Amino acid sequence: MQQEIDGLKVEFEQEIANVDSEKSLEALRVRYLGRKGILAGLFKQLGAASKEDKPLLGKSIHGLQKLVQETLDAKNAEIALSGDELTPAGFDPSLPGRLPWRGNRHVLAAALDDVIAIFHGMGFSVADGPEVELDFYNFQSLNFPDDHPSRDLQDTFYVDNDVLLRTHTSPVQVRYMENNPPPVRIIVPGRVYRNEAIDASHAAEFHQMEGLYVDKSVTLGDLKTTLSHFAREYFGPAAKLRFRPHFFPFTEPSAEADMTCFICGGKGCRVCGNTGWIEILGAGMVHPNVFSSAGYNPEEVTGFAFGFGIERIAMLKYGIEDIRLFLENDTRFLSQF
Amino acid sequence: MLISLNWLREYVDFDVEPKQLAEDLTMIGLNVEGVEHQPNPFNDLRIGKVLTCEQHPNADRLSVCTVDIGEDEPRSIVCGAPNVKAGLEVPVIPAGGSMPDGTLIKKGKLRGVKSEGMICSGRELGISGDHDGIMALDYNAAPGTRLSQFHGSEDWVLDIEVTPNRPDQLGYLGVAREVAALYEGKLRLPAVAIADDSLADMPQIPVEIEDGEGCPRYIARRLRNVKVGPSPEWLCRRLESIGLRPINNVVDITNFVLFETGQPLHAFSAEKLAGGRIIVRRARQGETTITLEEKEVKLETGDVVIADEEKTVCIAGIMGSDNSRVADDCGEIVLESALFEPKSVRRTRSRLDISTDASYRFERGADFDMVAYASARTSALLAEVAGATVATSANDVIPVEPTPIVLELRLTKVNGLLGTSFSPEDVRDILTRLELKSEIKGESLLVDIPWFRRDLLIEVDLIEEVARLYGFDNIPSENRVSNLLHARLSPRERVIRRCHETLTGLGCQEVVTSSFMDEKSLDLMGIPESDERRQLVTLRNPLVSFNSMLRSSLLPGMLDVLKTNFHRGQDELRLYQIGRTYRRRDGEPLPAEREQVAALLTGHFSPNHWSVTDEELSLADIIGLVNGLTAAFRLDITLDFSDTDQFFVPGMSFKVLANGNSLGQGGLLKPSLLSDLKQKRDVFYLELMKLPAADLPGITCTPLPSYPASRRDLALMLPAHVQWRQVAEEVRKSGGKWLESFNLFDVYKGKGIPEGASSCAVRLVFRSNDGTLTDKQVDKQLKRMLGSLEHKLQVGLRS
Repeated sequence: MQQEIDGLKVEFEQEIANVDSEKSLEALRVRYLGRKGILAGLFKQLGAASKEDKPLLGKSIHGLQKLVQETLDAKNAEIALSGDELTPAGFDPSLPGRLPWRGNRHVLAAALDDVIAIFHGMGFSVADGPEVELDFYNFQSLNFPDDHPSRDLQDTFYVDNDVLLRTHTSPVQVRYMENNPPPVRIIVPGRVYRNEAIDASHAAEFHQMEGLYVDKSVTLGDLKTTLSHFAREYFGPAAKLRFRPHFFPFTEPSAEADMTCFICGGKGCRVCGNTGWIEILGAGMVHPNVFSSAGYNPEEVTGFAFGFGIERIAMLKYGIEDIRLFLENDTRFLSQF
Repeated sequence: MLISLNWLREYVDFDVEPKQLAEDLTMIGLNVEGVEHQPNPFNDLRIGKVLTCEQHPNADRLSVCTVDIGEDEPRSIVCGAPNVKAGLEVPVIPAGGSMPDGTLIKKGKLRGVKSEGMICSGRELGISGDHDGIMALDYNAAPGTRLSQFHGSEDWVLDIEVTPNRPDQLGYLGVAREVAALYEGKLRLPAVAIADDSLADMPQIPVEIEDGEGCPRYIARRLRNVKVGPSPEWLCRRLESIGLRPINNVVDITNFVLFETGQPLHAFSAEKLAGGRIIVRRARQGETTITLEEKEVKLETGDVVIADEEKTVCIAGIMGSDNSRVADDCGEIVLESALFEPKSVRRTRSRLDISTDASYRFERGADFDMVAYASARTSALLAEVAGATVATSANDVIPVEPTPIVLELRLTKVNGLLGTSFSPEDVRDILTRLELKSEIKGESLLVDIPWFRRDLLIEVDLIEEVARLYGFDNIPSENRVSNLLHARLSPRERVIRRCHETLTGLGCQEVVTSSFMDEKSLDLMGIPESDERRQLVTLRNPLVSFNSMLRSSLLPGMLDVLKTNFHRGQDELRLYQIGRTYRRRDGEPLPAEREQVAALLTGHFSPNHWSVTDEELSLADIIGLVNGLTAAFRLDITLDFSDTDQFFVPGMSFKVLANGNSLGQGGLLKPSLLSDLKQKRDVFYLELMKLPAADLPGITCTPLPSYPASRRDLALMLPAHVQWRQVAEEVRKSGGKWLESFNLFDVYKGKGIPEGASSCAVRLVFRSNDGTLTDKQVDKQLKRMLGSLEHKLQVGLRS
């Protein structure tokens, strides 16, 4: 019987050498280790062996079983590894990928979302108001008196004497304050309209972002801090703002802010008109008359307000040279952002 | 406002480069928009000596000269002046150079004789009015010396943006005052001195102000013997430096004083004033007048006019009438220097559509004190320049003596608003630089507001003055811990964001289109007259060649985008927009503004990809988009395939119903909408008329099933008259409580299937939460369902 065991061992080693697939390996495993396999047969024969032969034969059979098991396991691992290397015959892996349609936001919307995220971080929530607006909210309540030259600052589309298309997002300042007690910290993104001839840098409809912060002791310093932070976040850490006095009826003091030209770094170039500065926004401390219009007591609160064009900052950031591209929606333009 | 620095130096000293001045002015609020260098206009002119002068061989009136201008050879110059002769010192422009007005002088031949330059007259150079001949110089300079050593100077001109609140900046004196404040210098007001022999006693011209509100001050002064003629060189230079063309000494002086002081002036011909009086009154009903520009205008009763006893002679603060025009041989004139009320000037000039330098200043507010100075200054200049005899006293009428304005400025407010820590003295010193006198009273200052700064109306206006002179850049900016206000998304924002996320996730490109549209679009769309989309908001003053109505539908804008892209060869489009529409409401001043969603699909499912067949998009794709979008809001929708808008192909379009309410509609657009496209293609459109509700239903998590499912695949034969949605409805109804889901995974038509019918392969999934279903249980349910399909719809299994 020992001879038979030795013979099987030789035979198994020959057979395992010929195994080249999972299938033949499995067949071999069944032949040797299966319920009715060779080893099961050997153990059955062992029962009939003499008492003195039993321990030695048993040891031999167990040895063979161990060998078979281990060899099969090793071969199995080897075959599994070789499967990792297999490529389907005739497949060209360099064919172009299969991309589902890629959805994409409009550059304006994307810019707006970036800006909103920055102001969200500073505690500004979004407020909203109508685009077709009363003269009262667009002008009178913002300290643009009737028959005053400050009304010439903005060319206005009128629906009738009292109703117009808002020329800025500022009417929402008064609308919001009328309905919410201080403190107020809001931004108002939205579409505005100017009755202006259209060219590469002027549009009759465009988008603005308004900001308003009113509380007990808001200062011009706070305004500078807030807007400087915005400029650095949106245009990069090198962006610096300078504030120079200006005039807006609804703020006092009023300022325009220029940003260091990010094209030339302030040295002067075509984009900044050789000044090194690019005008990007208007701002100021809320005029007491505006607080009064909105039902706030100007003796009790102070606040700052600011506004800038979304198209303008997007044009600066992305080097877009014609404002008309925004509403034209050529997909070759839109897909760049 | 153009500011010549040479001119400005008459009133204030400053010792900085022009560009630095521009920068410094900008930083105190006088935004300098341009800095222009003006070279000396005589740079090209040389002083020459006429060596010889002979009669031109072919022209009686011309001379041929040789002129030494310091070159190796004298130049030959043909000259037409009668007074040219050998030995004169003359101004010469060598050929190739330019006259002060920029005209290029070329080398050429005059009647056969070469001419290598030009000898100039005083008039040609703008140095004197003398046109009779060339200008004989008396410098005894070396030939070739530049004339610019004796005449003219280089200049710099700043273009300053003047905001409506600062009328004082519309005159040189106002700008000079800012420069003085900036560099802590002193403003120089030119002294007004009239020589005794230019003064004469004359009776004052009577002035009657009927309307003291419209005219708070009026000064009338007589001047005699005004000799109208060309202006002297200095005056021409001043006006030319800011782009004005000199006309004659009288006009030029009034213009000069207007720009110097910001005070408009007007002159009447004294003999044309009927009754020899001036009356300031409101215009009479139906009155008309012909302006100096010879245009007849209709006046209204609100207009302030200057009149004599018979007629209007001037529209106050705007423009004089032709009937009292100062003629060249004018003799006696009446010089007006007055103040008119801004609103009234603005209303009149805006109605008449006449804008002048005068109206521009009056409607912004002129300076009460400057009225008198400008009158005296103009008179003195007319005496000096035009030889006028000036009346010793003018008639200065002030209907109501104005009250002085004193503002209180509290230090707490200054520092509270600016975030600074000024002392009262700091603030006083800054105000003093601006010529604002103030008195410290404890923690406040009492500030006298001068007439030249009547834009300072309230305390905060003074705070701005302090801030801008101190410098906005010097105001401390630091991160302060302010009280916590947390930002949050409003429900509306949450809905809009979710829409965007879903639609971009579904592969759509966002577009943003104009708010304007044309009513013709609605006709094309077949929108009936009674439809609320016809309640349009119309602009009273649209841009020329621009749509005049606000959109009531997003479709026209979406079609424009489609066309733009098609024309440029981009014809695989999946677009969407979330935009506002506007609808007029009866009885409400403002229209309804509503956010809507629109999507537009055209092209192929997977355009030109190697791995798939090039299948065109179909109605199923727009339905899929609705399903995807509404799933994001967990809306249970049904599609109603009847009764959509006219612009859809009937039967190929549907209403989207959520809980029985119409949310929007979708389908295949009628080809007639796209008739101007060269390329014919199916275009699918979806619109949601309103945004889904903000608040999503609360989520309760369903436990994962504990028992296995039982799947059955069936091939159902649908006769031609049956649509899938009927089958789906019946399956849902009769599938029993264990039917978890079903899915249509194949539709087959063609061989082996009757004409018009289709074979639909459906996978049904049954599951119970109470135990594993047996085949017998499932088969029983299936049989019941099939019976129902057969009975109600004649749908059976494909044999």
